[in-house]
This record gives sequence, C-alpha cells and structure tokens, in this order.
Amino acid sequence: MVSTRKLTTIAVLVALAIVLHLFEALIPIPFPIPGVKLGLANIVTLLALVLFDFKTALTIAFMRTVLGSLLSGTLFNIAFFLSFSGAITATCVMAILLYLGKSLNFHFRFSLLGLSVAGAAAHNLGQLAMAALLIKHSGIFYYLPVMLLSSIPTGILTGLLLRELLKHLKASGQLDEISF
Amino acid sequence: MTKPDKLLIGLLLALAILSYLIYFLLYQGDSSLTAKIVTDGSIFTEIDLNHPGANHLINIPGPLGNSVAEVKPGAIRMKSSPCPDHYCMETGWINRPGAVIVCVPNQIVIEIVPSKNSVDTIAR
Repeated sequence: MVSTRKLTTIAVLVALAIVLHLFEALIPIPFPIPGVKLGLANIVTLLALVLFDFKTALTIAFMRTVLGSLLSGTLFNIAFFLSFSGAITATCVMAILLYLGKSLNFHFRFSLLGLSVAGAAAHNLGQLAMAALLIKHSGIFYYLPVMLLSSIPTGILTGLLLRELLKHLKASGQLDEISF
Repeated sequence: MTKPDKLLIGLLLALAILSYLIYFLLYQGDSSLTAKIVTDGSIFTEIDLNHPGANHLINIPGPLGNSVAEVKPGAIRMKSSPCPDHYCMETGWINRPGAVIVCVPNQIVIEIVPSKNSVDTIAR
C-alpha cells in the first residue's frame, strides 16, 4: 500500500521532471548532434533513486518521457523513442551503481556526481543504440566520442545541482517527512 | 568527489579517446573517397567524391519524403530534408572518411568511406 504522502511526492516529482524535460528543449545547443543536452530531468530520476527506490524512479522516468512527449507533441515519434530509451537506460545504470555502493562496503561508493555522470553517459549510450536500431545502421556511433565526452561536464553539472537541492531539502526539514 | 567517481570519469575519458583514435587510425591516409547513402538499412547509392565536376544534387526518398544531398569534389552535405529538427542539415559538409550525416527521422545515413579499388590510390 502506497502512502498518500509518497504518492503525492511522486506526483510532484513527475510534474517537476516534465517541466525540466520541456524546458530543456528550449535551450539551444551549439552542437549539430542529436542528443547532446544538459539532462536536467535526470536530476529528478536520481533524486527519486536516492529518496525512494528503483521501481519509483523507473515509474517517474517512464511517466516523464510519455507525458513530456505528449505535451510537446512528439509522442511515439523518433524523439520520443530516443529520450525514452535514454531515460530508462540511465535509471537502470544509476540504480545498479547505487546498489553496488550500498552492498559492497569496501569504499566503492559513488557520490551524487559520479552517479550523475554515469547516468548521463548511460542516457547517451541508450539513445545512440536506439537511433542505430531505428535507422538500421551503426554509422551513428561515429558520435560516440563526443557523446561520452559531453556526458562528463553535463553529468557533473546536474550532479552539483542535485547536491544543492538535497542540501536545501534537508535544511528545510522536508526530507524528514518524506523518508520512510 | 569520491575515488570511484574519479575512476568512472577517467574510464569515460579513456573510452572517448579510444573510440576517437579507432576512427582516426582506421581511415588514416585514405585520400580517395566514396559517399555511401544508406536508407532503411540498405545501400541506396554510392557516389565517387573524387570525380571532378561532381557538383550535383541527389534526391533521397525516405518515410517523410525526399531529402536532398549536395555533392562537390571531396565532400557531401544534406541540403534539405523534411525532418522536424534538421540535425542532418546542421552537420554541414563532411569530407573525412568515417564521418557520417545521420537523419534519424527520415532514416537516412550518409557515410564517407575509402574507395575500394580506386585508380588514384593504385597510381600513387
């Protein structure tokens, strides 16, 4: 049984993720490469992983891509499949790394920055793989070096943003009410 | 930033450099170029880019309609495309072996490959 508070929090996170998803599309990118972007919506996915669990984070990532695409008019077209595969891959990879850090106790713990960078890289890889599937040609992996490289600064940036966000959430006492 | 963080970033950097080097080394020294146009996974046409006076336009049919590629000696670009975001057109001219122009919505890939048995390379 999901508590009302948790349900409400998830709904707020989904709404937040959708806004970031749509907002990001408005930022012009200086590269003519599909998929190079900040990955702001990934902040919410990682926040959900830290606060809740894998299932919740996956639900939020799923809802975000479906509803975000619905609102931007790209539902079930190419852009949707690309961001969908990217978001799901990122969620899975970040969840695995978070789980590894918790279960293996010999100093193998990623910080939010590391998790965020891994998520960004996974997002890009998932997206490239989906694009290669859609065009039935592997030539798009020509962009692999740029995509991997760009995931480092964008991942660090979103990781820093999440760290600040968590700091403020903790200071405001909101987290005491959320965490169960 | 923890130790695994740095390890991860180092690994990503190494992978990026490695994958770039593979492309770079794979096609080093090939001066004779062919543009391969692939639609829906199969070869649509191949164009010899070394042919003098090769400036012309090529219509490439895709699920969204016709995309138009423009050829000049040694380079090719996507001149127009019915796709929504025009990433393919923004890529501009490509002239290096291994380079690609990808139009995911219209399912078109333009790839530059070294010519297989070109007279130029043999004569040199």
